[in-house]
Amino acid sequence: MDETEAEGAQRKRLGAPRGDPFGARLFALSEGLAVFGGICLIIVTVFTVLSVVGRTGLDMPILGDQEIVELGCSIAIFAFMPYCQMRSANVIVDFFTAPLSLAARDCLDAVMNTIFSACILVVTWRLAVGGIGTFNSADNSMFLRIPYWWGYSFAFVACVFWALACLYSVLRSVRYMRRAGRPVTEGGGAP
Amino acid sequence: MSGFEMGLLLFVVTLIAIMLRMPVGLAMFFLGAVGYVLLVGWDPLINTLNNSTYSRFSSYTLSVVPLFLLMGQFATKAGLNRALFKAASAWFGHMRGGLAIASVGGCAMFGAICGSSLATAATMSQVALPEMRRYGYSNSLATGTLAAGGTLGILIPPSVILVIYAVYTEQSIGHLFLAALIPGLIATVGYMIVVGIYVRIAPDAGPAVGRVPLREKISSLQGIWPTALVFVVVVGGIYLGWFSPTEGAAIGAAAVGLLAITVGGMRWQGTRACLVDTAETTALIFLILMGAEIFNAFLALSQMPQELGQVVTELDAPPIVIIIAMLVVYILLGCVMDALAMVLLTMPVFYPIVASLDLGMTPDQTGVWFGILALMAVEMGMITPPFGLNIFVINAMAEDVPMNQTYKGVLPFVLSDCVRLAIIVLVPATALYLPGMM
Repeated sequence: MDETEAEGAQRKRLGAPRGDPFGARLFALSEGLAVFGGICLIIVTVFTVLSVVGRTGLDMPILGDQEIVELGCSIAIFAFMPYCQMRSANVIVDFFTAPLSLAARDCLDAVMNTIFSACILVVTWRLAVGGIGTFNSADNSMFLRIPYWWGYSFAFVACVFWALACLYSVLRSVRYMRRAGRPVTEGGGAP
Repeated sequence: MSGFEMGLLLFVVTLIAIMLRMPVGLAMFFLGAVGYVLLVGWDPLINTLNNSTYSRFSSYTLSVVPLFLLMGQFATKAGLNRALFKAASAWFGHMRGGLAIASVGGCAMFGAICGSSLATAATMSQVALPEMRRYGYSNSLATGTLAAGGTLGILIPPSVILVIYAVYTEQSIGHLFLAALIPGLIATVGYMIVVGIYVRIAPDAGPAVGRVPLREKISSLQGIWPTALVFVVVVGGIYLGWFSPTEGAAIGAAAVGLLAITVGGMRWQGTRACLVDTAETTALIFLILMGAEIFNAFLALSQMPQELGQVVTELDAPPIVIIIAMLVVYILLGCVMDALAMVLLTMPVFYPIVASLDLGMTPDQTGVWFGILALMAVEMGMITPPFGLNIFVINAMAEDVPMNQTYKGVLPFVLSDCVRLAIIVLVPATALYLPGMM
């Protein structure tokens, strides 16, 4: 089988696909993106601590520290989305469909993932429109004058990966459906 | 079709889609968007989407969520779970069922630096499960205790669900954290009593372990102080307004991260593992938040919640009955659904109704009290069969224990949850005393 079992929990989380160069590459990319986002989160953490110390201990408040946190966290969160998708870690309820056959469940997953892809494609498209809007109106943050389109640009790139991950998960469910014999943990999986 | 009917219809369709394996966040996003288009059209929807996703993901108040998750990840790498369990078992181990009592205590203390129920259950099991099995504890007691103990992770502040509840209902995060403290302690004591009764009925289930000399007991307390210090600084600082919740979470994450590096010997591989785990949990939470944004916007447009609220007030039922009815809905939904998803799905409908009830409290008090009640009710879902995530996590770690033994083990704890919920419904002061004091 081409998937590695990550955890035995109800929500089956997938590891890097084997025997599928495109999937493996996409997985590695999304994992790298997640680590990058995590590093941003650590930077935000350190920066925030310095800002609090500066404000309370040294009487040197950093003006607009919130804006850095917002930018850093938005980068981190957007960067996390494709990884979660590749791991199939999103919350689903599989109690009611547990009596169905594997193929039927995979078929449902394929449908849901198709809707998912459509939604994320729309989100990505509108994010681009929104970003261009902030670029044209030259919207900046209040204190530090950080242009909002910076955040939007990264968000857009991350969303493109997210949409790719969604499309890939459609492919994955279809592939499962046709084979109808993937390794499953108790209670079914959630690709 | 009126807005009310459309709101109700799509709410039901959303539930059905969720039952058919649509990811919860996607269902709220997609069907919320469908409703939005039906009510006001396609153009307003896509114009909303220009900025709504980015502003949700770059929200300053919500950035507290990934930071608290990171803190919880670091806590395990810092070995705090080990130290806490060691201290608790030094003090309680000699009693019958002592290691189970110590597990409950360890979970409660770990909950003080971890805002997630699953993480607490998984982390404490790593240290407590092997010990309990080594001393011949019954499978049911060992796995049941840890599954239930895990819920203390989210009852005892900081708590991710409370943060999100606070953001959506515009309550103070500091007040909610403080309000959760006494109920969290009641929960801890309640679980310990359950273990006590359990081993009285089945003495073989939890044999006593040899007594530890007093000197060792006292020295074991050294393992507790980092956790206690971080908890007091973070929760106290947020409440006293020294720093914002986001800053508090960052300070906590930095402190525990430093401990992980110095005491726990965390290096790049460990950090990386923490980061990807944080990434996964953050992402699944923010997908639900993204869905909730659109879903709430649609529900607000449909005016379904307000009209439903009116219908409920016209029922002229005693307010307390309505509150209890909502909690029952949570407990039932909890059998099949994730806690946070449940809160976000129901809050736009439930909260306006709660706010309109005359319970003899100020609106803020009602909001805080209901938040604690809802949190406890949805957390019961983590340990109620058939879909209890904590049960699955523990069961995955104790592979040879059949699932029905774990189910059997958690039942007494579910009973204690019900008793505690009743106490907090009947005596709102348990939640409201601390935030009102200062």
